[in-house]
Amino acid sequence: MSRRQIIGGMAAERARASGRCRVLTALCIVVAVTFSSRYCRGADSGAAAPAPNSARAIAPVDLSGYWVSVVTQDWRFRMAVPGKGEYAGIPINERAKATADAFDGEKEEKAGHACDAYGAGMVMRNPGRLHITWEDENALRVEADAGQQTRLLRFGQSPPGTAEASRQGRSTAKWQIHQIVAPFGPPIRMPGAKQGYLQVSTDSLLPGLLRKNGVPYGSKASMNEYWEVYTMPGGRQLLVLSSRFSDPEYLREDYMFNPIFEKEPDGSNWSPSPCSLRW
Amino acid sequence: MKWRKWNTAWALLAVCCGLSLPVQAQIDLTGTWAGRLHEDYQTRLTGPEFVDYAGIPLNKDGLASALSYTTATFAELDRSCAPYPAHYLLLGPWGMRISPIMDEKSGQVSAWRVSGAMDREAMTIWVDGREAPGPEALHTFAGYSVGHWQGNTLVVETTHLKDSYLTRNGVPSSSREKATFYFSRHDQDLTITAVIEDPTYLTAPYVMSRTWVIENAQPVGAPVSYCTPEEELSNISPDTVAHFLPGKNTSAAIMTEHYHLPKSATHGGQATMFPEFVQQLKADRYTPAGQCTRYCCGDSTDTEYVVQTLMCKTGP
Repeated sequence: MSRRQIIGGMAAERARASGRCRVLTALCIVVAVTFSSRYCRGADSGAAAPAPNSARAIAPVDLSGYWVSVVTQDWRFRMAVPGKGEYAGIPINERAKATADAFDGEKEEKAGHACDAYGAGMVMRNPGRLHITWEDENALRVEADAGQQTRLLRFGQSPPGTAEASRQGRSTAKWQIHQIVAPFGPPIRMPGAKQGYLQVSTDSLLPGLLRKNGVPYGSKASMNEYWEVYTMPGGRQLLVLSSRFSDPEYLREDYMFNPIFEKEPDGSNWSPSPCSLRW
Repeated sequence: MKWRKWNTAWALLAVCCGLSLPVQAQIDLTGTWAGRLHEDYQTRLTGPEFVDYAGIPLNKDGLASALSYTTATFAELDRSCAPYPAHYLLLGPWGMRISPIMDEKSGQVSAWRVSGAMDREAMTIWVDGREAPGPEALHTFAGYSVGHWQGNTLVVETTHLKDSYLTRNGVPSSSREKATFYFSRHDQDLTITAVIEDPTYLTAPYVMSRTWVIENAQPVGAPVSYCTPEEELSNISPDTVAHFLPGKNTSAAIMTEHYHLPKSATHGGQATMFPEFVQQLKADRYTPAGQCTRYCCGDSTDTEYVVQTLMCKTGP
C-alpha cells in the first residue's frame, strides 16, 4: 500500500468519523432542545431576567397571572351567606359553636368588622379572582378582588417567634421541587427539571371567621397550604390549594379544604369589591 | 485519540437521550387513607338534598334527567346493587387503601390498586405504559384507568364507565364520561383532584378536590358489602322504571324551603360555578334562612358522632 493510499485512507476515516460526530452532535442538540422545552415551561416571560438562585429564578411552576375561583365545593356556604347554625363540615368545638351562635352579622358589619371574613382562613374560599405577581425576587404577591385583600408569600427562613398579627398573617413560602429519577444512575435533582409545587405556612393571624355566619378562628391559628398547578385536558390550568387550618382555640382537629382556581387569559374580569357579611 | 472522541460523543448522546426519556417519580402511594369530610359534608355522607345541583355545569338533558330521578330507582331489582362510578371516590365518604401491583420481572410498579367500598368498585390504575382499549370495549362502574407521572403527581385517565350518577341525588353521568384524576402526595396527606368531562350531560368540566390523611393505626380498606338484589318497595314491579314526569318532582322546592336558594341556583349550570353568580343571587333577592334544623354540625363518618352532630352537639 502506497503512502498516498495510506494517507488517503486515514483522511477518509477522519472524514467518516467527523461525519459521525456531526450527526451525534446534531442528535444531542435536538435531544437537548426537546429536553429543555419539555422541562422549562412555566418560566416567566416578558419580565426582566430573575436573579440567579432567587425564588423567582428557581420557580418550578408559574403561578403568576389571573385565576378565578371554581366554586363546586361547599357551594351553599361560599356563594351565599349560610343561615344561622349551619356549621356542617367544620370541626368546631363547643366554644366556637357558642361564639358562632351569638354572632350577629348585621351588627358586626355596622361595627366595621366585615373583613373578618376575608382573613387568611377564608380569603381563598370566597368566590372571586386572584392576581398573582412577583413582589420582588423572593416574594409572591397574591391579591384577591373579593374584599380587596393582599397576601404576601415570602420565601426564605422566617425569624423565630411570631410577627405582628395581621389579617393575612405572615406567610413563609418554599418551593418543593420534585426529585426526578433518570432512567439510569442514582436519584438526582435534574437541572432545569421544573416540576414541583409551593408550600406556604402562615401564622401571626388576627382573629377572623371561617364562615360568614360567624364560625370563628383565634389568634393562635395557623395554616399550611400546598399550591399545585395541574394542566387539564385541553390545556387549561388549575390551581389547587390543599389547605390545613389549625386553631387550638376553636377547632378540635385541623380543618382541611381545597380551594380550586382556573387560570384566566387576562385581568378583564378583575372586579374589586368591598368586604361584606351579607354576600 | 479517536476512541476518546467516540467515547465522549457516545457519553454525550447517552446523557442527552437519558434526559429525554420519560422520567419516573419516586412517590409511594401505598397505605390506608382516611377521608376528612370537611368540604361537601352532606353531599358525601348523608347525600345531597334533592334538586340541589348548584355548582354542577349541567346541560338541559342533564337537568331534565336529574329532575326525573327518584330514590325508588334503587329499588328496581336490576339497580339495587349498582355501585357508583369511579368519580365517587371524591363524592362518597369513604377512605381507601392503595397498594402497588408489581411486575416481578422488572421490579417496577405496573399498576396501583385503589380499594373499593360499600358502593364503589375497586380501581386498577395501569402505569405500565399500556393504552386504554377501544371505545367498544367493556364498560364497568370502575372504568378503565391508565396513569402516568408528571413530577410527583400521578395523572390518571379513566374511561369506559357505565351510565350512572354523578351525585347521589340523581345527577346523571354517561358512558362517554372521561375522568382525569391527579394524585398528589404531600407527606402524610394525599390530595386527589378530579376533572370530570361528560359531553352528554355537562357543558364544562366538573372539578373537585379532596385530601385524605394516612391512617397508620388502621391498616384496612373501606368496608365492602356483598349486595344481594331483593325487592324493597312493594310498588316497584319488575316492569316499572321509577321516575318523576317533567314538572312533577315533589322535591323541586326543597332547597328554596330550607335554604332560601332560588331555582336559578339549585338547577345548576356552568354559570353557578363562578363568582359572577353572586350577582344573580342578589337579583333573586337571596336572604339567609333562619336557624339551621338539620345537618348543622356534622363533620365525621363515625356513626355515634354523626348522631350527636346531627343534633348539633359538638365535642369538647
